[in-house]
Amino acid sequence: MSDNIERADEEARRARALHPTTVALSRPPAAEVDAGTEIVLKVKVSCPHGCDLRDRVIDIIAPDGVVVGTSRLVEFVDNFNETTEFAFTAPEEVGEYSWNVLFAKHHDEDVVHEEGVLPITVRTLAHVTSLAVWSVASPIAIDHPFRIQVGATCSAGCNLSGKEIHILDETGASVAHATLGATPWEGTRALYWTDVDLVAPAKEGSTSRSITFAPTELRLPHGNASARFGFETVKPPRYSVAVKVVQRDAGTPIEDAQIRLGVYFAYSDSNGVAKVAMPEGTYSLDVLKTGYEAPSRVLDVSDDVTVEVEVAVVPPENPDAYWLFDPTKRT
Amino acid sequence: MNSNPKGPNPVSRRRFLKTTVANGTAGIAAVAAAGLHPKEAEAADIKWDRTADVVVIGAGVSGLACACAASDTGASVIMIEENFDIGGRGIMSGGSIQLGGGHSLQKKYGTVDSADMIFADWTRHDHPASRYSDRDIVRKFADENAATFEFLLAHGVQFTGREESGSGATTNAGRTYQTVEWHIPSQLVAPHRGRNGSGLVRRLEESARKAGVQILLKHSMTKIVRENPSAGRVLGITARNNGKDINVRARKGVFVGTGGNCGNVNFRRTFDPRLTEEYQQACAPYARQSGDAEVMAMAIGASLWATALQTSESGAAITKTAHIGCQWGYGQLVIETDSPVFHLARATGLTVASWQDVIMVNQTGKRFWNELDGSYNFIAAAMAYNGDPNKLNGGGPIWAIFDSDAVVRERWNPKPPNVDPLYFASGATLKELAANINNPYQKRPMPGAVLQETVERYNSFVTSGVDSDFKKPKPMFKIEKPPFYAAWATPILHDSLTGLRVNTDQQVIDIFGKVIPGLYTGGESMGGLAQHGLGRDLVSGRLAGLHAGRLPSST
Repeated sequence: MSDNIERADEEARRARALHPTTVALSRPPAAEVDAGTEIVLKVKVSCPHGCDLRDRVIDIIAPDGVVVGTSRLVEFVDNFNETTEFAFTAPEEVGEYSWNVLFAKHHDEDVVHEEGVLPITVRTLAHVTSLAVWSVASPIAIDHPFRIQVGATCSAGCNLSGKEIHILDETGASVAHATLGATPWEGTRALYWTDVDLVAPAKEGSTSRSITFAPTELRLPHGNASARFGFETVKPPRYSVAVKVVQRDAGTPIEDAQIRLGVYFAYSDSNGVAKVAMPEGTYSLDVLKTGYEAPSRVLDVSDDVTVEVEVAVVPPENPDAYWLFDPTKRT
Repeated sequence: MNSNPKGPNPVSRRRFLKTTVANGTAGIAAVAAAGLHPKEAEAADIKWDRTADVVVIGAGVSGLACACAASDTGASVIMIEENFDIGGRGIMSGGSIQLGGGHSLQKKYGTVDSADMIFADWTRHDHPASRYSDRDIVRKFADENAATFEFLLAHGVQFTGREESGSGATTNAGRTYQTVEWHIPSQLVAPHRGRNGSGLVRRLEESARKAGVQILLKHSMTKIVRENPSAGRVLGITARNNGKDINVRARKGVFVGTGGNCGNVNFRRTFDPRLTEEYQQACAPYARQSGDAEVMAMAIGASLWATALQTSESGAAITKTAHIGCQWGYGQLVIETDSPVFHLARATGLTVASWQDVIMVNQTGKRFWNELDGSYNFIAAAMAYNGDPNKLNGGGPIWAIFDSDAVVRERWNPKPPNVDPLYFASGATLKELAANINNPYQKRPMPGAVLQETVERYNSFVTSGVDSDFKKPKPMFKIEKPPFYAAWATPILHDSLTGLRVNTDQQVIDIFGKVIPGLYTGGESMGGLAQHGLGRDLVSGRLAGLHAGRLPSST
């Protein structure tokens, strides 16, 4: 600074009161944000003399001096001048970044408000990706083709359509891959999904598969994701088992009951009937439906068979049951 | 100070104070020299804004019974109520009143009952609900059951008819009678939900007002005034209304009927240190269950009593939620959108028809118990330590996790006003779901990878048919179809099953075993009998009102 300017400043200082300022954060930015997404903050500035500084500008200055964000002080309450919440865009690369929140020196007629600076630091992260897998049937007969659905999403809602997912077997070998479609799954912001066609293994037992997602060629950095799913692989069916579910005493058919024969599932139709194709064997038969109960039983399957299961209505729980106790029962 | 309700020679002392206290420091010194504590002088010198024979704190069930009974004796009554309306928990109750002993309605329907049968039921040694009872309290309660029922009839309370069938022969079934719901919808707090307790409290309110009882709404008791800090008569109370304190003098007695204590985190942990801040309470946000009676009475020397009753794990001290995704999802209670307190409740919640449709995880994203269970074993597992070194007590939030197939099966609409965004989250994947949980009691983020692993493992149990972790019988449904949901399902507190020590006239007893003259309590603020709800409240409130009302006035 030249002598002349210093002199001028000195004169100004004499002529005008000099007020320091303090910059603080009403809402600090998140310590970590997804790369390339918004950093949101709210700034407050105070002067020890309680000056109203509304309409002054707040800048976010990058280390290279570039202004990356700006806002204005719009509220003046309890000697604090505040911005509204405002945002600037985080760098697109992963790393730790710092900026200065600047209240620039300001000359008024009789007061000079000095510059106020507050450094802030934010770490940018690769976007987190995650997976969902659904419509996985079980059991599935050996060597039988089946179809599942797989979706992937990103913590910042990036468009993942066109990216690939891979299905791996227990040894980590890829058994299928598919490309995510263009339209997010209904009810989600950005779950990009695809059908995947698979084939059950050639041997019986519990089967586990994993899904991996490692998106490339996205503008912003993304992490990888994985998930698992499983199903039972069974021998090919030979017989048809029909289970008819009726209400005890009334004899009326019960719809939508879940029938389980070991690992086999089926649901009863409007006639109360569920049909399951299965190989020979001895199975535990359970009929499950909320509000009804039936004892578990054992069923030998060596031919096509129809069985009837009576379910009893479970009386609704007495809402007072918590505090009524039965003197005939000893606890 | 002795236990004479009038205190020792009050007239001469008052005269003495009149001449000395006004002189400032010299006066206080003179009081001290005369053997009186300065606080005593302060209490005696209070400027009373209002006076009644009996001052009742809390216009809930026990308070209204006390007010009506006191007024039956000819006493004047002022009631103080912090809420904008009367009723306390009673106005949200189902209105089942457990009273028997051979009253007129029992006789009408040929129900055999007697005071001795009630006494026998509530002193049984073979059940934890009655094992720890104070038998003196139970004897008086049993003897006064029938008279209290007749008292309700005399005050206009209407009943639906004969006793409720309950679940077979139980201690209260056979002596459980239901009141008729109040007929003016705009005067209900929980409309559409069969909250017949409204008929009880509104009828008692009506009767009390007819008898000249003054009810001061939006007045919060801040202090019980006793002659000196731990001795002498209770003289009255201080209450705050709209930022201003008023002093209300009680010539005969103060009844504290502020109800339960389970809304007071510090106080409830006296009984069970696990009950940290995340556990909400039934009947909030209308009735706070602040424990005010206990706290303020203990501040002047009162004792707790029969504390084992609170943790006998036989009643409804803590329950599984029935409605999820809202802050207060207790049992039969739903705050519908036209409730006068819906703006505080914020959501009605999603009522769970089948716990097969969800899994429940703790704040770390792990299952902890068979979801079909609702016993105290489930509650204990929900409150177990789960690894947060900064939170050793309490188990943190419990979340019900489910998928869009469960939404269809349960016919839920998982959107406001059915769910509260602070107590509900959704996500396209389980990891996204975990990241979206934003709840004030979830102090650390739920690890998404853990939640995903929990669900993957649970889904394998559905496939195999066996829950090898928690033995949920026949897990029926996988959680797999997006979007996924997390709904608040943290156990909720209900009954306060014990409280202050009282004698059989409902006078509060101090920590030395002496009566605190002029102080009464009942309902959920009292100790000695762990009966749920309205019968205990009504008998104890009525007894206190009769005893206080019949006392000679203190001068």
